[in-house]
Amino acid sequence: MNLGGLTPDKAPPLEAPLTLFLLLPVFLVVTGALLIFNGDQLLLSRWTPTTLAVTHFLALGTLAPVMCGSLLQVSPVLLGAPYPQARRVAKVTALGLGLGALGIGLGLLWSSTWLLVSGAAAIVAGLGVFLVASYRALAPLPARSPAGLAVRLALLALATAITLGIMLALGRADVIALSDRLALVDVHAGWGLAGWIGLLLAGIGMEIVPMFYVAPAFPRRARIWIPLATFALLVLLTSGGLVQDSTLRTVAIAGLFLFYAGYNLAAFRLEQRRRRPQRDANLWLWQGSHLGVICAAAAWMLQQSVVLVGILLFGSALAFMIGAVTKIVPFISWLDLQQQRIASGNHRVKLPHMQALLPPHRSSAIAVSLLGAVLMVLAGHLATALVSLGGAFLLTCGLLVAYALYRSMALRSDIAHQLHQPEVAPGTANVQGMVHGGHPAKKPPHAA
Amino acid sequence: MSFQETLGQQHRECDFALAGIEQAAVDGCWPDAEKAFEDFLTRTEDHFAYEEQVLFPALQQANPMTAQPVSVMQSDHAQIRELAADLQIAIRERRRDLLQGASETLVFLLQQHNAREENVLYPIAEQLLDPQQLQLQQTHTGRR
Repeated sequence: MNLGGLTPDKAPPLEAPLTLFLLLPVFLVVTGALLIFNGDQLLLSRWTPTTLAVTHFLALGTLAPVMCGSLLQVSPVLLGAPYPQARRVAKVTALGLGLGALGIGLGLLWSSTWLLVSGAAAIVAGLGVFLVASYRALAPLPARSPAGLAVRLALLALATAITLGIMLALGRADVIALSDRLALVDVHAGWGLAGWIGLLLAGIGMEIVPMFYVAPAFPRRARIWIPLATFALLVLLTSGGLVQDSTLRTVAIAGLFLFYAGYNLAAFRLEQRRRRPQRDANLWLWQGSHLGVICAAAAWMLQQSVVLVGILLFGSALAFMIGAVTKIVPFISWLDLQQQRIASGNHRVKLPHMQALLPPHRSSAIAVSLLGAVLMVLAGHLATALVSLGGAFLLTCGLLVAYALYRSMALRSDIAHQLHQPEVAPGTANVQGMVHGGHPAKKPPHAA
Repeated sequence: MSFQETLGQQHRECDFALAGIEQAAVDGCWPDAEKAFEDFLTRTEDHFAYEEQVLFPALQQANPMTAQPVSVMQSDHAQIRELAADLQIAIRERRRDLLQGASETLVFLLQQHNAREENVLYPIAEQLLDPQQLQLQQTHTGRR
């Protein structure tokens, strides 16, 4: 009998996902700063040190921590699979990703083999621990849920992307000889982008998009076949790399773009058919993300530059993950306060709603700054200086995310402090006024 | 419709009713919001009544190990009722800001709660309880 996810002590502590989420603003700022100073290098080629550094800062420093943190949080709920020792796993993973992203990014930027290999070792340690913990969490799970399938395949893709990344780092350090480095880079990028990032975002997205917006569900058949077909195409891409057949690789990449364009189009249409009327910052970010992937597929089909396709894909992934963070953080903070209130027995303190913990105007500012960053970097094809302006937007976005997280944590901490104060006379607890503007004591709604 | 499908369908109907409240508030049509709230509350309390009076006790009797998960679900129910009370106040006082805050939080809590029930608790119930015990749910919900 699998009771995972329903046992209170198996729920992830708030600190677990938050520890990982804190890397997001740090690396948004780092990447933004790099674009401000080296922006003119970004669009020249996918092989410039700046482009390689930006790619790895974003993939390992912003996307991977948010994806790992989100997985720690949603796995008990969606899959019934709580992570063992979630707090410790989060700390080690965050440390590995932070040091690894910095080492690999700077190693590529400064052509320092020592930094590159050290960074790769940190990634192996951090994500290795996460993969082992994921295996322990998911192994006992019956293979019946489509989301479980997508998450398992995404983790397998992550392990493959890391292995190929290590081979590339060792090849660059002349430790091993690589016969076709270009093909290996394509395969590495495929497993990282279409495998790890794409499968996880699509797999979890197909579950949470209908939930967050009360939209129609994706057909069960699609939820099973999209991850399986994507994985099969990645195997085809790898075969093309192994036998050095560029046609096979091109066919596989075309298939991946077609699948993801189709999925994102379907997700966009379902969101348009949602029952909840609000159009909040998160929805703008998610729909922008869907459109970004569709544009990336079109750009690839039209044989536009790989850098342009990459900007669209990374912009899309960032939009989806930042949107998710602006929803997950206030909700888990609210849940944590609820648990503390139950534990303290202090029911006089009125808890704020989620939106007080991360107000909509703050989420909107984050969304606008990210949109500005992506548009300016794309416009860099017209005037190179705009890439640096995009970097300034990205840096601003990082600072706004940091401020939103800080304010959310500070408010939660204030309320938690009040909850653990000796009980005060009714009306003196100030949280209610801070959030609701105060309202009279209420009666519970009648039972039906 | 199977036991799991019936309860899952009830979850969806509560979601739709809650979305109806939000739509009415966005349209500025507060009498419609009141009606939608009554619909939401009736559906939610009816569903909770089956779970609290029939399903949870049967589960705990069938296997005492389910006591802790059941208490987590009951705690969720209490929080959902508290947020529903906020929603009721927001509608009564015609306060869109309070309504948005309460409904957003309620949507998230309901989705987490529903996912845990549908992915973990209901499959366990179907394993532990015989079809006759699960049939009770059909007659219970049939009173609506």
